[in-house]
Amino acid sequence: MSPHDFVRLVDNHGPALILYARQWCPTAEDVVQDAFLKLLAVPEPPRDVLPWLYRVVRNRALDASKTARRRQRRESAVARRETWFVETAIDGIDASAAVAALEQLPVEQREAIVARLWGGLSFELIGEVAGCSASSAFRRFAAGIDSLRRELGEPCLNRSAKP
Amino acid sequence: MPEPISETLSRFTPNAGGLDRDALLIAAGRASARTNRGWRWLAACLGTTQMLTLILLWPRPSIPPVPLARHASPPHVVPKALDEFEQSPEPRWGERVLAAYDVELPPASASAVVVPADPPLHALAASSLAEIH
Repeated sequence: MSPHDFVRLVDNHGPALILYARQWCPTAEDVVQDAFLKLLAVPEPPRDVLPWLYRVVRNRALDASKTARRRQRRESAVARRETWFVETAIDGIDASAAVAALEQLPVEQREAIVARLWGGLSFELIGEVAGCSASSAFRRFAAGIDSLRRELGEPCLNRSAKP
Repeated sequence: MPEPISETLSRFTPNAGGLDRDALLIAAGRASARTNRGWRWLAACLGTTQMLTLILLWPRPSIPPVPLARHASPPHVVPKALDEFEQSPEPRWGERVLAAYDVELPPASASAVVVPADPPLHALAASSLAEIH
């Protein structure tokens, strides 16, 4: 993998991977950085880099969540809440409301939604990463979207984004 | 028909403020550096053999050789004649020892009493053959 490919990979998929890792742990940036470094450290690069990265990020985020849970108990009073999205609102949907709705979802549904909407993974790849079938991944995604729709309501599609 | 809610949500850009690309590239370059440790083993082997050679070839303190006197000749001792010993006024060593323990030497004629007066035996003498038969 050339340096340009690596930079392109970081630029294109880094933010989505961070959002994906945030489903489990607050130290998402460290997890994603470790995953990128691991990608360079493997002697034989994986054939499909993207699902490999999502799988590594998932495993590391799960590990990090165990230690973060203990730390969070001690530091919950001073913890700074990370913003998940750059924009504050899009089409009448407030970003904080979207984050709150996402956080209420079961982690399996949230994982499928993040991997699909922001990671751009197919349901086959989502199933491969999450350890389930593609149809299960689709069902989780659909159930999560239904829950979000109920929580957030139908947005007004005026295509105006407020940064 | 696309899901309106999913389409809207997908337009949110994930915040990657915590991901420093430059730091990541530096760390990636550091991690991808080849860690060839063969030179360490080579240096260790060379150092060990060097020490071994030094120990084996270290000059040890040796016993100095006895210098040989090239032109020195052994002292020429002229043996005294037995007559000189006999005529020496000093007492002999044995006599001095006996004198120290206050022992008297037997008289010189005493040995004549010990020796039998018979004639000495000769091999295949007539008397000897007669005794055998």
